[in-house]
Amino acid sequence: MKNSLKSILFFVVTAALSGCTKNFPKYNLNPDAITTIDPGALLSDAMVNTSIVDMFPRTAYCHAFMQYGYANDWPGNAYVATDDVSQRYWNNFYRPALNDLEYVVPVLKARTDLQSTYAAARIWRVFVYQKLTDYYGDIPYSQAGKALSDKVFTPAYDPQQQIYTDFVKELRESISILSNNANQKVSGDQFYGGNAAQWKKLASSMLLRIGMRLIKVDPTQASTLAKEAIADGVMSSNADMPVLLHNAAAPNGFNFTLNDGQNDFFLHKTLVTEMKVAGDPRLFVYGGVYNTFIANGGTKATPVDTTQFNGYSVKASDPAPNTRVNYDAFGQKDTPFFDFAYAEVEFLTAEAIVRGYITGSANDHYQAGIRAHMQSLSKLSGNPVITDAQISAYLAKNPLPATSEAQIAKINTEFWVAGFVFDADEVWANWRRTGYPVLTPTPGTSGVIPRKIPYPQSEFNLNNANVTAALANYGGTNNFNAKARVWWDK
Amino acid sequence: MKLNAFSTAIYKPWLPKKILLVMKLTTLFMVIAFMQCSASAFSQKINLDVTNVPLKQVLKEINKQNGYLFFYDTKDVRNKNITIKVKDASVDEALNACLKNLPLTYKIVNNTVFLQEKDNAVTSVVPLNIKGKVVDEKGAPLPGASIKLKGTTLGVTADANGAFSINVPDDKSILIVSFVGFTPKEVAVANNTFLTVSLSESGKLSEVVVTALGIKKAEKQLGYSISQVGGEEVSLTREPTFINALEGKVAGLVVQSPPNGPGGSSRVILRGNSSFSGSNQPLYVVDGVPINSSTRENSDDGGKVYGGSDPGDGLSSINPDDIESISVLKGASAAALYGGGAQAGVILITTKKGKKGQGLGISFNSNTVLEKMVPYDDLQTEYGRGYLGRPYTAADYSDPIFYGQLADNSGDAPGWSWGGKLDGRPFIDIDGKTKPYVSQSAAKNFSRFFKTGVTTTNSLAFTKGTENGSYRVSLSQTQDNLPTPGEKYERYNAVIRATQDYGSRLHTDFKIDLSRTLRKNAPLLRGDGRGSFGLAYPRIASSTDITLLDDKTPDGKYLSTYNANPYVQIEQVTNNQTQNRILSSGNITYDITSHLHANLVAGYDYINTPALFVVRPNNVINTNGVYRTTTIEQQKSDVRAMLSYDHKFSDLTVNAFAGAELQNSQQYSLDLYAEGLADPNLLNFSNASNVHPPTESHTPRYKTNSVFADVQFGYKEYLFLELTGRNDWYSALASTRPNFKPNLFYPSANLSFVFTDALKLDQSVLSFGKIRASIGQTGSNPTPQLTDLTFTLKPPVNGITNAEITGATVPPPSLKPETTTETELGTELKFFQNRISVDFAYYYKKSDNFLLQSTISNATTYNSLYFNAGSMYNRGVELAISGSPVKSQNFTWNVGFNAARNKNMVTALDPAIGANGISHYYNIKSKVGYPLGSIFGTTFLKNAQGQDVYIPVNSRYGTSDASQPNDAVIKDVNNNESYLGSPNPNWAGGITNTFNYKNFSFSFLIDGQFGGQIYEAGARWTNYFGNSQASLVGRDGNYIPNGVINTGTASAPVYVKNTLPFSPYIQYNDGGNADKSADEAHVFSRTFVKFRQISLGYSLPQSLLNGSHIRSVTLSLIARNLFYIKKNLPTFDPEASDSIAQGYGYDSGALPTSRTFGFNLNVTF
Repeated sequence: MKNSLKSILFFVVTAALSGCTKNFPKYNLNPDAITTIDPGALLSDAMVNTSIVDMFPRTAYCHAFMQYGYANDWPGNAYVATDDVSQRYWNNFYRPALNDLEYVVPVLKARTDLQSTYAAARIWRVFVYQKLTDYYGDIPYSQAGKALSDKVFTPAYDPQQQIYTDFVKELRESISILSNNANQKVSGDQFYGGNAAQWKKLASSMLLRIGMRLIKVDPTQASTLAKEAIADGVMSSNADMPVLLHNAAAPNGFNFTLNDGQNDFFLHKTLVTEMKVAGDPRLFVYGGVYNTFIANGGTKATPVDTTQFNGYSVKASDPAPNTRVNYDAFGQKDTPFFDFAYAEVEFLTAEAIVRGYITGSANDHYQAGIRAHMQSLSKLSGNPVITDAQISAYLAKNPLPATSEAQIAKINTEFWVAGFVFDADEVWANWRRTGYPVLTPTPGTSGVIPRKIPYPQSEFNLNNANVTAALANYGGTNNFNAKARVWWDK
Repeated sequence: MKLNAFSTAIYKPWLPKKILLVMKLTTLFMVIAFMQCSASAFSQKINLDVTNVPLKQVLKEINKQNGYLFFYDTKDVRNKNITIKVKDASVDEALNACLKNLPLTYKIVNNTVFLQEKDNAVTSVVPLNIKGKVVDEKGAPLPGASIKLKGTTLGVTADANGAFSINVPDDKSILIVSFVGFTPKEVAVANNTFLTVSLSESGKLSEVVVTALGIKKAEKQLGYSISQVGGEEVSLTREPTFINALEGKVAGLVVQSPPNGPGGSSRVILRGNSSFSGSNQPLYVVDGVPINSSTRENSDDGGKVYGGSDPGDGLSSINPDDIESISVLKGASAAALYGGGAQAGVILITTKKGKKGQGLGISFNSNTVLEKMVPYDDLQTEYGRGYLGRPYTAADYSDPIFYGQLADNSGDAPGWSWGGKLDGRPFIDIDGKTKPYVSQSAAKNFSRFFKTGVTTTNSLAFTKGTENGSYRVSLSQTQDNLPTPGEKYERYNAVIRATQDYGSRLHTDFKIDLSRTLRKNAPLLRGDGRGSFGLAYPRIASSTDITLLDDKTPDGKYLSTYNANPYVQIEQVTNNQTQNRILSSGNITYDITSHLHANLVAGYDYINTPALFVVRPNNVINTNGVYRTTTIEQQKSDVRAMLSYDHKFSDLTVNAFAGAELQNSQQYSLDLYAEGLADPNLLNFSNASNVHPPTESHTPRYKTNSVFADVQFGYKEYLFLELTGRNDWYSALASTRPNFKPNLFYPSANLSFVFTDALKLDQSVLSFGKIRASIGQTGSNPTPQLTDLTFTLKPPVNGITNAEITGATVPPPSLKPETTTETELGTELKFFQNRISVDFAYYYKKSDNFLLQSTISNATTYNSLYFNAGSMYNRGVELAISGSPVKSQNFTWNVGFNAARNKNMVTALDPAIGANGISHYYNIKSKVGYPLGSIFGTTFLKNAQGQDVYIPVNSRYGTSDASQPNDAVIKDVNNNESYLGSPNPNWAGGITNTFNYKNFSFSFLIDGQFGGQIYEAGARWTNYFGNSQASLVGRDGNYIPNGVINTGTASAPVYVKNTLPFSPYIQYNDGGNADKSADEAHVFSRTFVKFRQISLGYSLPQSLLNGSHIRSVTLSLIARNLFYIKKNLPTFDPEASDSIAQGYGYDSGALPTSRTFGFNLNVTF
């Protein structure tokens, strides 16, 4: 009897004590998920997610605005804003890419053994945020990604000028970290096999890009940054390009987009005409003459010359379009994605020379840009080759003009031609910055090519006070309007 | 004279050394339970060799050696030490040696030794043998009644004829005669040698109620409302899930069983919804152990392709024949001792056990139930297949507006009943043949499709009671062939329960319930048109024979590829689930003193549910075939230990207990899914062309540790105050991150005041009056595995490991359980010697800290967040009245009435949720200022003067064709979202009348719900297909509705009176578009009054059974769900729903209702 009493009392006391048991936090971890992770795996995921995402916004708006192409379901054709496109940009980058990066950057900061990785994560974070701010202008930046650490669930919007200032700081610090940890490999590196020196080149190239964005609002700063970037060492060949190699399990985002009812992606007459006139051999790579939609069993004809290429035109008198985007090269799951074309660095350098920011031969950089881009196309699916002879012929036919303004126009027109298909969003930013190529707005529209994307409707539901405050800087209405221009595009 | 006695039994107490092990040793349960302690044989040879030991000890030793029982007065043997040495002695020799120097003598009667002081021995003590009989009030024998000698553990059991024989020490002895269900009686022997003891049944007044943690209390002690229901209420009605039988019987309890087939989940709501996100289902506690009753409903999974599966909530595994009683703890005060998890109330189930001292009993119950589907009674039968008011013509078959649907019987058009008057002229049916244009009414098509369901249940129970214990073994088997062809339900139960006393202080009670439940082709809760009859029937043209859908082309393809083809589901789809369950519990009580008791309860519930889903290749659904196997394994264990104490200090009584509880719950599931079956009959993943990676889950899992205490003070048996407290520590609230507080305290207090006793009122009119008041707090078990960030590995890219943050859900910064605080006031009154009793309760319960998953700005880089974000209240009244208007020798009439009103209101939602509220399911939302889960949607437009606004349309082509002049109107729609109603009834209740005449018993139950709305999507489709009565309004083109047309603009309207006829075809169908009608048109009142149940019973008179082994024979006829006395919802079932959770207000047009007719035979031996 006493024993039983004792054992029951013992049991009661044990149970009471175990009320505060230490194992509860561990027991509450999800047994089907990982609770500690190699930071490199998150960095890698962020890099993959930047180009695995649905590219519909890039085609629906940027390809339409830049008169690269035309498809029935692109609201950008008529310069009409839709929330579908607005929210896809926002969600594609804030979540899959920045979710990883905002978590992993603070984690990496403390890892002395992963300082190069830390720098790479910060560089890539700038890369993604720059896309967002160039689309939308003011965006959540300093408070974005602070939900877990600081319980910020309705992040405030930062002025784009401050964001750009921070980009510069981030890139400078990253370059410094990479210089000091040149021997450390970047963990989870999808681009360079962990090579810290190439990450430094990427950061410098981004610094050049950022600097050249400021030519309208702060030419002094533009000049300073261009000089600094060249001095730090920008990309010097196609081998320095950040290229994401996709595969069936992680397909190129264009594959999804081109198969998602976009098989009627016609090349625009503006682009086709420009390339036909210039005798551009890349037209065979960019497009093809198809008898009907690929999804409907369309097949590609093999025209011997580009005279048969008819791009999309709004004019009823023009011949019906027959030139669709080259599905073999761009519509495949395993087509690599060029996140930042080396050619663009050469064009930016050429322009910086023309503008007197730096010294050198603008023509050399102009030609290097064209050559590099034509050569880079062999990385695409099907490995289309532009021969050296074709390149030389093209360069001979398209020399850099004599006057500064004409040079800037020519360089940025080449920038435009080179930006097809992957970098249409960057080309749109470059067009807003320079005004080149000169595009005639589509007839029957508002007549004004949009220069800022409206905020997604979800922000008005979930972060209303902050988005409303930000919207005041853009005319107070969330649409394409005359005041809707980002800071560096004033 | 005070007597003590002992037998061998009390010297072999069995005490486990590690009590904790008990719960793991399920098999040991049974071994222990059957350890019958029998007295050793009476041997005559006694060996003793002791020096200076207490006499008592020597007597025990003699008892041990030869089994003789001893009677003595404690004072006679106290402080008497002896020295004795005997070898192979007889009893007499041994006793004489023992007592030789003591002032004691002895006498032996039938192996019982009486010790007495020498002086009194001869004169006063004459051991007596008493014979007698125990009977009930009517004089019927009570076999198994217990007869005990007061002050001892000695006793005997009455035999099959109620007769007994017992030895007592003298004529001053007192016998205690008892029998379960009867009031025990003390009888003085005096100078009788034959006693007839008549016991009366325990009156209802002193009824003992099972309260929280299984504590039994007298009703008058309760400061809160509890409803107790006897097991016969659920065993007679034969609902496969016992809880469904309580519909309409308990005030404040609303039970709905969606048309998910037998074994499906039930919606059981006590006093309104109490949670946004968690379960609104009560906690079920069986024999003191909480069981797994999670619904696992999946009405809206990615598996919409399966039409919403419902693997059941596990309640149907319990055999109704095994239930002794059910206690419903409705309020927070009654349930506060269960803390977290008791937010939605608690249902305590006590199962049957053998009765001590009752001898052997056999009970056999056989039951047969027939089930008939009830055809939709109000679909139109005037117009047939076709459109534009005529049957389809051959030309229509090639008209491009039908996209070829008529030609290959796909899409909707083949089912439209927008044709001409059914006048017998020829028309082209879906098989392409020309037939007479006549109605194929619902009654015809139902009888073609459904058969008569037959359910048979056989239960056999053996009970045996001995003096020290009992056991009960029950076996039961249910076979249910449902009206839907191919649908089957089977259940097998084996229950073993054993109780045993080890001496007077240690009591054990062990149970194991093994069950196996098979559901074959269980219906789908909702659908995507995957062929459930409920979805299909309203979509078939009124002139089409349903069996045509089963027609096939010569190469075996279904002629009708229309996607809601019920024959495809019957023939090509297999949807089977098997549930194997072990439900076990053990209960050990040790009486430390007569006022202090220790109790250990342990339980283990194991459920294994394999499921199989197959769609064989066919030309209609999942064309290439699907093969899917799922296994869910659930485990739940519970160990509770407590000490209880009671004492009486003159006018004050104290009952207190305190204890601790450990709960652990785990789940494992494995889902394997493949598509493309090469051989339609080979069910193997090797036969599938596309095998998806397996999905494996080990969640949810959680532990809850608790301590609790309860004290109740009673003053003079009329004033009672009880205070309780429980503290729960949840693993689900713990985190490796800071700022998480894993525990919560749940207090309660209640007061009961029997004013009729306190004020000594005249009891001739008001026989009993009590008022009660309580306040208590309960909670909801928090969802586990939410508090930490986790990562999910993804396939490597370019050889580099990739991982992401799981679900992009940010874990909450802190987490609290949902809590509910409830105050309750009530009274209980009995009039005219308990002929009428009234129970009334008012409650107000406020629920806070709702755990919600909220969408957050993607700019946070996450997309959702779990947080505590809302509040609501329920308030209501409950009334139960019962009475016996007629009570005479041969005839009684009893009436039981109950009614309850509940009002629910969401009072707060975090601003982060937004003013738009939370969407639960289609049109079902929760918003501040409206009841939880209300219906929102579009309405028909009215102008400022309140007139209906119509828009002109072309009756042939709809509004889009501008080339045709407008010749008709339809109602215009206001697309702003409006509140359209709440799915919860305002009032619910029922009335039962029972008549007893001699051996006949007749009873019927009518129940109903008043108020509340339902979004009936089925009505939208009967309108769209032109099958509803509503679609007849205006068909002849002569109905010119009284309303206005806007000839101005939307911003500057100019209203003129409408002069055009109404076009139901455009309003509801519009050439294949169901969206011209407002949501408002499909929202109906849920009010109904149902003739729920009628039963007739007959017991064979005892006179016929005398002399046989049969104790009783009862025959019953029972019919359920007979008809609706009143119902406002056309065609469909107002009790149906797509979901038993928050989607409750929405019905896609579920299976029609059915009636059951049953025959029950109960024989006891």
